[in-house]
Amino acid sequence: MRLSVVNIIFRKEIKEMLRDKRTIFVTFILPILLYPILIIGMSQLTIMMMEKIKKEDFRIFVENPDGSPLLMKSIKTDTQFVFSEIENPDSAIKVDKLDLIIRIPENIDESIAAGGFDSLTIEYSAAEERSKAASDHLDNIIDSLEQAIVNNRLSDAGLDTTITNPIFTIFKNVASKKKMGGFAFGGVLAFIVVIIMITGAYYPSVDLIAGEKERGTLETLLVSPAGRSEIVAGKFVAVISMAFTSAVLNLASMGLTFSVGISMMGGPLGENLSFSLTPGILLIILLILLPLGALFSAIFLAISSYAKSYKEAQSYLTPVFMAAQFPAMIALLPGYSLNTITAFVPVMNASLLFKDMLVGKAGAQDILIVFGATLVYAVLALKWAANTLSNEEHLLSIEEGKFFSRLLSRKQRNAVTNENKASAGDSIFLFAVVLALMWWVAQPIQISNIVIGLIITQITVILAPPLLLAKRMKFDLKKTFRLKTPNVASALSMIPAGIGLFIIMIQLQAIFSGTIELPPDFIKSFEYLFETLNAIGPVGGFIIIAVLPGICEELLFRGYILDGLTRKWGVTAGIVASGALFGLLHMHPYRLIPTAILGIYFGWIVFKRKSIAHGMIGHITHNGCVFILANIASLTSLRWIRGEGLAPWWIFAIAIVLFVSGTIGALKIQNAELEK
Amino acid sequence: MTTEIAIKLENATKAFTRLKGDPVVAVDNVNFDVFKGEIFGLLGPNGAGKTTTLRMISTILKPTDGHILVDGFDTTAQSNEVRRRLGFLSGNTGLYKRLKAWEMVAYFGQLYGMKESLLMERIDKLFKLLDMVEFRDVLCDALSSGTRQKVSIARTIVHDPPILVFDEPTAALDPLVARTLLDFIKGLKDEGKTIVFSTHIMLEAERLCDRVGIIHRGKMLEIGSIPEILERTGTDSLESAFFALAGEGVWE
Repeated sequence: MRLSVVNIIFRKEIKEMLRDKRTIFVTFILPILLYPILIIGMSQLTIMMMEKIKKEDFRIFVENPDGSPLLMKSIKTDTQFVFSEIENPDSAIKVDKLDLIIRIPENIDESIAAGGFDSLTIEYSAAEERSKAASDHLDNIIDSLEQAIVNNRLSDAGLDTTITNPIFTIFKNVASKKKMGGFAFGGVLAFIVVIIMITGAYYPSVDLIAGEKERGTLETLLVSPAGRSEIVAGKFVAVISMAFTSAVLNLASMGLTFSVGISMMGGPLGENLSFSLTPGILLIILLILLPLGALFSAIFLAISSYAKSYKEAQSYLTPVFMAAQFPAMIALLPGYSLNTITAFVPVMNASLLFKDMLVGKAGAQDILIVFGATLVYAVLALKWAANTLSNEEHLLSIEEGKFFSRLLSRKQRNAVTNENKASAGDSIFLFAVVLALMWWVAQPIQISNIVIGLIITQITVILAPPLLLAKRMKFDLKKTFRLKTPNVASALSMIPAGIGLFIIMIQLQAIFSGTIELPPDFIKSFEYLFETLNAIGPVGGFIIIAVLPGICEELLFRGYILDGLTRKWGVTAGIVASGALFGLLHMHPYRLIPTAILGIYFGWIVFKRKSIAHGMIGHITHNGCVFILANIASLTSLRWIRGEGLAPWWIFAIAIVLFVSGTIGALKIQNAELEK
Repeated sequence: MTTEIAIKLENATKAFTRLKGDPVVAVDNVNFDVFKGEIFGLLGPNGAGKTTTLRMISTILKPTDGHILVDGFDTTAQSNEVRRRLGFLSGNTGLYKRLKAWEMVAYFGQLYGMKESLLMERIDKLFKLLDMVEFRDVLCDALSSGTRQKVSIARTIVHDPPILVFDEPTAALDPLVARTLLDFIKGLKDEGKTIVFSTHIMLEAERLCDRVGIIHRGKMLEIGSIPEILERTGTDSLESAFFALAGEGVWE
């Protein structure tokens, strides 16, 4: 790669972009105008609303005002209450014609005077800002009235008023104004900075690849002595420069606006908060934004190269752009901060780090991990972009609509692959579909009725999608799902293997549970499930817990998904990946690793024997053990069966013997007739 | 005109894997030579494989089979050497809208590694030659289609390449501008350039080309000078010669 050529391309791209009024506006003018307008507008609006609510009178209706002169006296001295003489208060309060209804019972004053008590009903509408404010206001008035009554009673009894208030609490806020400012604005700022960076990369990427294709200039550029890698590099640097400039300007404008804005706001907010971006924090934010910008510039350039026109590129990029916003939004949610997992999630790690830094929580280690992880993702994305862009068919867009159609159309993809088999992409697509169905369909049904929910989940969410998709793609069903009549002895060997595996797994979990405490709600949900299952009898329970998952989950994971993944990624990676997806589908961190191990084991056996029946029998056996265990666990005093401790060594030994001999049997017993 | 070979195609083949339908062989086992200093015409209807052939010569596409040598350099293995010696212009070549006319030409001059002073001199000369000095500082977006094509020509020859490839250069032009362009191409031949020129308009070929190759459905049907082809097919015009070679009902 010649840097001089990269530089020529970079300079030309920048020159062109700077002549585009829209780019200039979005990159330079908008950030300067946007934040001041936004914050001034918002604070003005809030102040106006508050003032309006405060100044406005509360329209109240008092039922039986003669019932309590004492209470009426307190209410009447307050100027904000306006007594309404409305005909039908019950319906008026519902349509915001009235703010409060106070229902005073008969003889309340007498009860109080006699040292007793009575109840007072106040009706308000929680959906109306003003009605809520009125009820708060009234609450305060009644509180002080109440305090006065109590004090009177105490002094009548010759007691000190502090007797009802033995502990006088004083809460002192030790957070600095700066820290509170970071807390209040850090999440928003972190989110906006990340979004700006992504937005900044969006338009130039579309314009520089798809736009150039549409105008017919890319072909000319490809005939010039500029190499393809030089073209990609020049454009990439141009895109990231624009995006970065935009982010810096936004950051500066935002920082300035927030710090000035808070003091301008005055009132309690201005007194308690302060906000400023120190040069150190600013520098680190910029440092992280560089690889983040590189990541998105590369992704957008790569995707844009699939498109033939500006419009087509936008239709590809918009979903990606939207999806990228979700991890950034995490910074806006309370309670989320960097940890060992979130630090490696792209986009999310950056926005969380920014937030943590503004509150003063982030350390050097966090910064390094986020920077390193983002850098690795950026390099991978850049590699992808370079690969895509050096593909001549992409560059000239010989055909339109490649990006999505390949995924969905059987005829179209078969023309490319010339085979009726699942690819890794198909497997991952299917998994995504199943995962989405789990979330949107299975979960709600399971919550309303766990038994019916589990049955529907297995049949419609786990089993139906792979079958329908395989049928639509005209895959060879027998090969994809490894349907063949197995050697009976070999397949039945999976029963001892399954039992052995189950005991080994609960032993492992027992060892683990020393370090990981199972959360009570997790255990509770299991207990609830088994209680419900007990109600429908052992046969029904066995079918729901063991047989159905054994058949449906095997066809999905050891059938379709394993087939696609091993074809593209090789045997080992394919089996491990399908196992990991199997673990992921169980949607619970505590079940992730054990289920993934099971998935890898079954995947290995099924792949070796090319027989789904092996997986099904092993799976049914394993789940059957879980079911039996749940039924007898309460009856036995053996702690290890409940997963609470280690079993005697001889049980463990038997389990290993069962597992190993079963596995060997499953793998080695051959069909005598076939061998001949 | 010499018999020294400037461009050589040996069994050049290009197959595209299609998403819809079967894979398409756009150029099928094509062989021909272009001699130094001649204008070689590639004739055929739309979709015959002309553009794909020219794109392979220009290194934009790699042949899936066979070899192409330009000035002795292989288009796949030595694409950089080939690109230096080549100017490429197609009928739908676009310009960068937000660059001025001279900047557009200068950009490509820079990519060809031309020295700044030499480049400016060359640009001045070309703009005078093409009678477009007044449009020098106009943004390409604001130019008429005729002037745009002139900018494209200036861009094509800015590095003074010995070999020029024109892919249906008159496609988007009105007859008057087209005629000027053809005259200009003739002028380039007089300067000693080797020119490959594709068209589906037989009259243009008759006016311009020393030799032509008739291509149809990816296959080369006939190569030779125009009188040779007329004689071999026993016809009196290139158009009837084409029909004689390809059969009726194939035009357009």
